[in-house]
Amino acid sequence: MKMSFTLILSLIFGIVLLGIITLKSSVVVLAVPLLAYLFAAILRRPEALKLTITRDIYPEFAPHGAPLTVKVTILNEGSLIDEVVVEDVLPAGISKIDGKSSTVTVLEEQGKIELEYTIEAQRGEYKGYDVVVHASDFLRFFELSFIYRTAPRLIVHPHYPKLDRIKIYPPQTRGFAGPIPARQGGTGVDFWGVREYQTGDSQRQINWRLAARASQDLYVNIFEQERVADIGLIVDARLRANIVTRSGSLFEHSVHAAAALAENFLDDGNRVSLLIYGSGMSRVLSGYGRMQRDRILRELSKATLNINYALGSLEHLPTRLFPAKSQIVLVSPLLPEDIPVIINMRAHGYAVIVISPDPIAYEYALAPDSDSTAYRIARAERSFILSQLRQSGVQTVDWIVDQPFELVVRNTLTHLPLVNNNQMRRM
Amino acid sequence: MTKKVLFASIILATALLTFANVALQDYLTALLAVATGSIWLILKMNNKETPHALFFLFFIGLAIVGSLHDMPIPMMLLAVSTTLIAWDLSQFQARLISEEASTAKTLLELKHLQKLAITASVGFLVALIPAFVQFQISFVIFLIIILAIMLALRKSILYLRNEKKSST
Repeated sequence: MKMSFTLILSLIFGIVLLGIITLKSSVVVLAVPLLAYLFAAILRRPEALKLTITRDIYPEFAPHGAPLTVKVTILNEGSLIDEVVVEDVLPAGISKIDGKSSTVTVLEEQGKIELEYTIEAQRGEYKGYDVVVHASDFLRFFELSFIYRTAPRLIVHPHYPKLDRIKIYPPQTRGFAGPIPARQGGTGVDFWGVREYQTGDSQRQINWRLAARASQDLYVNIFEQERVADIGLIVDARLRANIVTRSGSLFEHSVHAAAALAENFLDDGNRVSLLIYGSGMSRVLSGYGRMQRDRILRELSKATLNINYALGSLEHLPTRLFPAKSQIVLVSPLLPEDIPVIINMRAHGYAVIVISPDPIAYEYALAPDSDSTAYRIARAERSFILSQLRQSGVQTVDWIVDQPFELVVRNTLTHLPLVNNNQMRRM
Repeated sequence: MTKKVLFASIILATALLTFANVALQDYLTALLAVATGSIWLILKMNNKETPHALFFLFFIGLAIVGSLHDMPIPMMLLAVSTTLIAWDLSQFQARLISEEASTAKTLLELKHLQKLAITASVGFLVALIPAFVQFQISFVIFLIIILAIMLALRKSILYLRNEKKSST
């Protein structure tokens, strides 16, 4: 019951009482228009709502920042409603950029209300949406409120930049042709070595200079085979390793970087898998192609930071999920205790690239105080961590997230890791 | 359309109550009625938030005072009806203030005005009947009649609602 209803009711009783006290019928009759008003409200009071609500969102799978169209249709399968207020409640992370998400109108029997608007969503997976419906009589004395839940799925994946081809050199490759040097002689582009001529070898491959120096033997050039590789992407989703502020989170940069890397590796025909480590262990098994890219993007869309005491350290990282001697790319801000684990991975024969969004620079950008001792100690500690990794043959990318990721990759990962290469040849 | 009816209702209610108080030679109250009506009107013209319940109570109070001083019943009834319309439309307009102009909004306004007009007219006409038919009854009989009316109202509401339900 609303305030206005109480007011009218009190007035009616007050006027009638006053009329009776003063014995004036002229006063009592003043209550009649108010009674008629009340009568009309009771008569038109909504009984029950029979609404069918459908919601369409298109596209259902879109990058962060892309405009999405939402269409909500409300069909009245009950009797006429004098006044209906429909309000579509947007979940956290979604903002309206155009159109109408609420309305007030009359809803006829079998009548329809259509709301169409455009939204922009943050990265994530959205499952449930509420539509709040208030139905009332035309005087708004009696109101029925219902919350309807519609559940179309919307996945907003991270928006990522296109990267230049990343050159990796894992100890082991797969059998299919690809862009990665396979450490095996055969057909390819880069010179690998020479061997004695065998029957069936093409004459074009004969190394005539060497043959001229030798007495009778012929030698042929062989080239390094190029194949695809197994690549395991690991995204660090531990809350304590990441920085979360009101304006954003360092983890978002990690997710965007992981998406860009996955796209890049899959474009080259590699077999890519994903492991999001921290809040739990979300995994995408190895695979190729566009479908795999979509699978990885879906998993990255859902990735959130959380505390899981069992996975507080990288010690429990199940590296055995990745094929032996494959390439591992770890995207992590890094903690000092992670170093032995990463070095251990190298010792197990994996080629490791660590892409480390710089947490100190990220925090410094929010509250610059470069003179403080704490800042200098943190900087020194990070430099020490990175140098330790480099010394153990891990390719490291120290990424200050203010810089575009594509630029950082172009400067650091688009040429073969020479030092790493030599170390691995010795292994 | 809603605005026009709202302004007309405020003006009419103010005029009637001012006239009644002038007739009663209560110039101060008449002036107060003009001032209140003007404030209400100006605020509504500028689409400002108004304490419509206060204005409504004040105007109804003036109508009651007028009736107590034996002012003509039709005039006081008209004042109450127009005040009621003005109060209702003030609330209605406040509810729709954020709503953009659309066919749905126009339809809602039209339907609301239609229903309000019927309600106010029926209320006014029904109230006029006892004004012209005057007879004396004992207080007990009056109470019984009131009780009977209330029961009849309840029954009729239930009947109408059931009929509406069965028709759907």
